[in-house]
Amino acid sequence: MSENDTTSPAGAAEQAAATAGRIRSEIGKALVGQADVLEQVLIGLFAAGHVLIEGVPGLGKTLLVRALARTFDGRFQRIQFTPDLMPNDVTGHVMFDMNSNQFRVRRGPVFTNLLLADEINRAPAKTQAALLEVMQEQQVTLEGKGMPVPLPFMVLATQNPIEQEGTYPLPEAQLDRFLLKILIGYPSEAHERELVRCVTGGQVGDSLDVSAIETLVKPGAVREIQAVAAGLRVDEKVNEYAVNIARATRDWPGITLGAGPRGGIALIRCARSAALLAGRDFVIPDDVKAVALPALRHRIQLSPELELEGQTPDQVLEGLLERVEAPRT
Amino acid sequence: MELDRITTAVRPRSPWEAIDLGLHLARRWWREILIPWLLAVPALAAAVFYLLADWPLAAIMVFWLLKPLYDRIPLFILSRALFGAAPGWRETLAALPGLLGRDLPWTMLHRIDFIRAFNLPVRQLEGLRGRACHQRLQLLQRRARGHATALTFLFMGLEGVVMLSLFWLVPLLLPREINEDLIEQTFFLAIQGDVFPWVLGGLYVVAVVLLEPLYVAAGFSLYLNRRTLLEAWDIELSFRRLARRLAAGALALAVLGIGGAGLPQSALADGPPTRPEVHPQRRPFTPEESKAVIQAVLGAPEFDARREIKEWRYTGGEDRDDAGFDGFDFALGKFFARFAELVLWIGLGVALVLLMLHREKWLRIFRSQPPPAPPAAPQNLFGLDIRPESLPDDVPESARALWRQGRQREAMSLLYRGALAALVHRQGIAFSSGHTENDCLRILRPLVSGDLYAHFRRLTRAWQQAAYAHRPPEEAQALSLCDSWHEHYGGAS
Repeated sequence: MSENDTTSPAGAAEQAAATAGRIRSEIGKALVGQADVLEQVLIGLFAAGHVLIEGVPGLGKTLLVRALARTFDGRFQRIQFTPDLMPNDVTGHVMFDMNSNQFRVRRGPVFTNLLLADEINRAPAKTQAALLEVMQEQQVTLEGKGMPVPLPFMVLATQNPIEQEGTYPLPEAQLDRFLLKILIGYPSEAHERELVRCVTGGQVGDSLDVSAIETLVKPGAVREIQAVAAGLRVDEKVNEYAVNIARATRDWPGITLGAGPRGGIALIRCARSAALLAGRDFVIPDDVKAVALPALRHRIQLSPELELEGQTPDQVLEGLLERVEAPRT
Repeated sequence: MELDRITTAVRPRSPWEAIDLGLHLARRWWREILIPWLLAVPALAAAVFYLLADWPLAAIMVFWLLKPLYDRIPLFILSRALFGAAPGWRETLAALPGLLGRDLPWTMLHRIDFIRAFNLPVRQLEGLRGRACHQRLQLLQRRARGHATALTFLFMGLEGVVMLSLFWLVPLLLPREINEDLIEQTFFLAIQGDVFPWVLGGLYVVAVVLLEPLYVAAGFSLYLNRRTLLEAWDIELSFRRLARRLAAGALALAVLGIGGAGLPQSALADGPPTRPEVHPQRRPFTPEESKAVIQAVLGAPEFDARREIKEWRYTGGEDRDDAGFDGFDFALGKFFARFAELVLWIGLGVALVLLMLHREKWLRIFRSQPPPAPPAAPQNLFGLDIRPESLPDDVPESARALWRQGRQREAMSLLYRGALAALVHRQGIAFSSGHTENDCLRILRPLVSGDLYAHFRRLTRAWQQAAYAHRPPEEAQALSLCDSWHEHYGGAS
């Protein structure tokens, strides 16, 4: 049994957990029926990661991002990825200003706190790579000069699972950069009824209304929460559990390509964030198990037989989680 | 036929052994066979292909049809060589016209015959025709037909193998630089319309030249073996040897002037030729006496060899529906019937093998589904030993003692472990090793009373804090968990 040295004072953790909880309930006012998605997006935010959201259009992804940006007064940008989108359209470019006889930097939409990269798989690989580089480095290099993006910085990329014609699927190495892959589905009937009532009630058109969302904190607070989350205690056994899960994917029947070490890292980062959202200042195995599906589903590759049988990575991972021994210290 | 001069060891053999002997015969007299064979068959093939140069496929067909004709050459040589009179190649060539010309139409009539190699000696050596031949064949084939058919199919396959091997031999032997293109070119050239029949014909002639003597020899050997069994050649040979030995003995006795009568009994004994005992005073047996002696001999324990054999015998009347059929149509119909039977047997065999291999799947259908036995209670969960005997008699008391010693974490561990053991072994709750603490709570909720669930929940929370946050619960909370432990999980665990 060993301890993590970077334990945060219990008070700070408590406060951070309370703020995180308030942010969650605030967004819940605008986003109806997607509690799991919201939870996972917040886990991604507090773990300082980026998320890939997969789902058909019109399920409230933009609303979620706008509401999230509003709660912490963050900047929000959206890029619709298209086949003719160039890397400069994402990162920005340097242009010569005739009036001042100087080069001027025009920053791209990537200089923001929350970036919604809509249908990321519609842009060619070069443009995708430009964005993924920013995600990794958290800075843009223009004319040889590194320009950091404002923090907290989070990319929420979406992709549509059905229209595969004319898309550029993200390669495995780039999928690995996303901390979580979140599946967004249709809301339940009750939630959908409520949603329709909310959106149409006294509203012109179908624009998304996030005016009801209050700004709770400043962007700096989000960074503090991230710091607190990063410092939550993780017992050695919990760490071992996460590593065991990641390792089990490598020789599990039906999985041709398992998760790399980044899988285990992602599990622990997300588990810390999940523990914080649950109001705890320590991580338990349940946190790891709860985030295992979104953290690993894009890091494994199923064997062709299972894919032909219509099995999903989630089904295989669920079977795996049943078999990996949970720790009891 | 002078059986005494036979050059092989005559004894009943299994059919496969007989085929093996045939191949050995062909190897033994390969020189005698090879020269006339190489002179006759390629010449015949050349003649056929020359005459039918415009229809090479027809030439192949004719060459194939003529097989029984030139098969006579190796049979002629072998049948003589077997009795110690192997003909030289000149002798064989001299015999060729008579050999090939004889009964050509009759031979051709029986061309479609899947036990040709076996039947050939009957037609060629015994010279039988018509009904006599048919009856003789029926008798001989009775227990050899399967093997003779298998032999034919085997050699058909071998012909294919030899042809394919020869086809690829040329490209394989060429240097690698020119090889790849040439293989393609050879292949395309060879399968083009004009050249293909000639390539095929050439390969076929080579395959026949190589294999046919072996085939004929194997069939001949099968035939010999069948006759050995039917006509007891081995016994006949033994008797002949015996007679020779006795004749020599009798001559010696006559020379010595000692008259003797009757065959001495000891001479029947199987042993080295010894001088027979002779009783000059004994008079010859009368027939009655002979009978009595024979009965006495047969009554001896050596002759009392009894075996109990059980077999199916057809006890109904004669039911022959093939009476009145004869000739080619009959043979063809029979062949197809045989072939269909073979296919069905093979199918049955394959089906049996498949059933055997997949028995796990289909046996399940017949197995009455027993009520699933309750899974044996695990002894080890999540790395915790939860066997009742691994726990102290009084769990809460031991936990309290640990707590007092300042080992709070161990105290909580013991309480939690004891509770899990009680739930698994007493309440029969099925936890698996993949279940986390909260999973256990979720599973437990619908299965146990609210009080027990609430207690286990408090215990789980306290344990999680102690284990993962390294923060033991308040002393009061821990002691209250100890106090109420027995109430929920029973007495001794």
